[in-house]
Amino acid sequence: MSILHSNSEIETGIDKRVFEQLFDDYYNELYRYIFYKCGQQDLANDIVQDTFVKVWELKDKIRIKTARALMYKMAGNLMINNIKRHKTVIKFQQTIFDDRTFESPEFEMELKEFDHKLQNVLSKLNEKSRVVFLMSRIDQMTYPEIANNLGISVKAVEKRMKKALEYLRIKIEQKI
Amino acid sequence: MKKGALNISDNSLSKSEFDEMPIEDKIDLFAKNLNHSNNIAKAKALGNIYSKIANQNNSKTAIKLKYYYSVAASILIIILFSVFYLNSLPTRIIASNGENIDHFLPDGSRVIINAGSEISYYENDFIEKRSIELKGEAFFSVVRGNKFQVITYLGEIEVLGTSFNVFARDKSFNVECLTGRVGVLAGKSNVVLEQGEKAELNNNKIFKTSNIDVNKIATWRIGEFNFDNKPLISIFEEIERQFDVNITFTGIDNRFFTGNFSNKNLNEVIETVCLPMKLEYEIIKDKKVRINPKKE
Repeated sequence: MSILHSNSEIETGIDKRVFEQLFDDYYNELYRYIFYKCGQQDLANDIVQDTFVKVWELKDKIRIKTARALMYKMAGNLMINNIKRHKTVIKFQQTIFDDRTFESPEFEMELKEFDHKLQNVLSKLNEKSRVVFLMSRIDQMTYPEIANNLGISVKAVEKRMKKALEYLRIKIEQKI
Repeated sequence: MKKGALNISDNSLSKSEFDEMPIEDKIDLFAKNLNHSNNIAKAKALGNIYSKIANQNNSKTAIKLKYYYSVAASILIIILFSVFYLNSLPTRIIASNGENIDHFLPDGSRVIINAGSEISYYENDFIEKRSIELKGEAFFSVVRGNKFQVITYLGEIEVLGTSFNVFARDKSFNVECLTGRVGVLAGKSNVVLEQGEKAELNNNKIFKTSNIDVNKIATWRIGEFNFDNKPLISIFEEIERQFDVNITFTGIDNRFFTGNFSNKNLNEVIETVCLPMKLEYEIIKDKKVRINPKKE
């Protein structure tokens, strides 16, 4: 249980211990967030690390309560400086095939094709909708949680999810 | 049980099940099973973060240091420029009202500056180029050397080694040669003076007078003043300079004065001038003098 839900909600400033706790709790999550945006591992790691460096710089002014959302914002801002040179291509591992057997090799192939299509379309989906979709499906965050992290309203999250689902449906069905 | 598995029994997913699924569910199923893991370990990431923090601190110190160095360098440059600039300024010797200044020039020449006058010259290469600007009156005793030049607003004097007096005030300019030879350039003409000769500017032309009593040249050096038919106003002006007083003179006067006085006592001097000129005077606190024509 992190110490972040403690009495020190109103106080400002963090020390090394809290800093490392923040790292422990949110590094991977922030990493995935940036990865969902750009699909590049090294870049995502660099940006999130730089974010934590900035957090350390601001350690006297940071409030624990709002630290998480703040880090999302800082990481997102750091990403803005990266001009996209290539089209975003995001590749995930599909774990549905792990430890499973399938009726026939053809069926397995069919499933693999579906996965391939899905990931293709995901790369083409616009960034805002994609990020919300993946935060919901992969990170299993609730809409309020997503809203808090991204600094937008729950309604805005719903809109983006709707867009994502529609886009994915249409594009995948097209290819079938 | 796999995370988020939807309508699937433990280890299998049948084709029929799959075909029956609506597209949204298919998307959901596959999306939820996507995974991405970081290619670097958490500990390494933390290490990287601390390294970057350390580097930042170093570069901050480096930047601070650079800043301080550049400030110091700038100050040094400003100081150097100031020194150069100050060194390149001319030396000015100013004799205010009520004082004479006896001054030696870098080449050993001597200049005595009368009250209310000033000279200026460049210390650094004075021996090579002996050039002095004069405002007012000064007596020069020049040692032999390169061409020695005195420049005034009204005319220039050139010598090699001599002694002479220069008077350059308002519109009056004259040079008296005590020893040696003096070249005088003024009003578009020039003359050469020898001992006992005087050059004076009149109507923009130089007039040369000879047979001046050398004992009367530049007697102001010892506080004695000789006036030979000089306008009364200019005598009052000289008195003002010698005693550092202010003279107010009512009454029009184009008269001329011949006589002499010494600058030891203001009262005496005023009397010496006013008596023969039939003027009344009043001296106030040694600073102001009022002179009016005597009432008959």
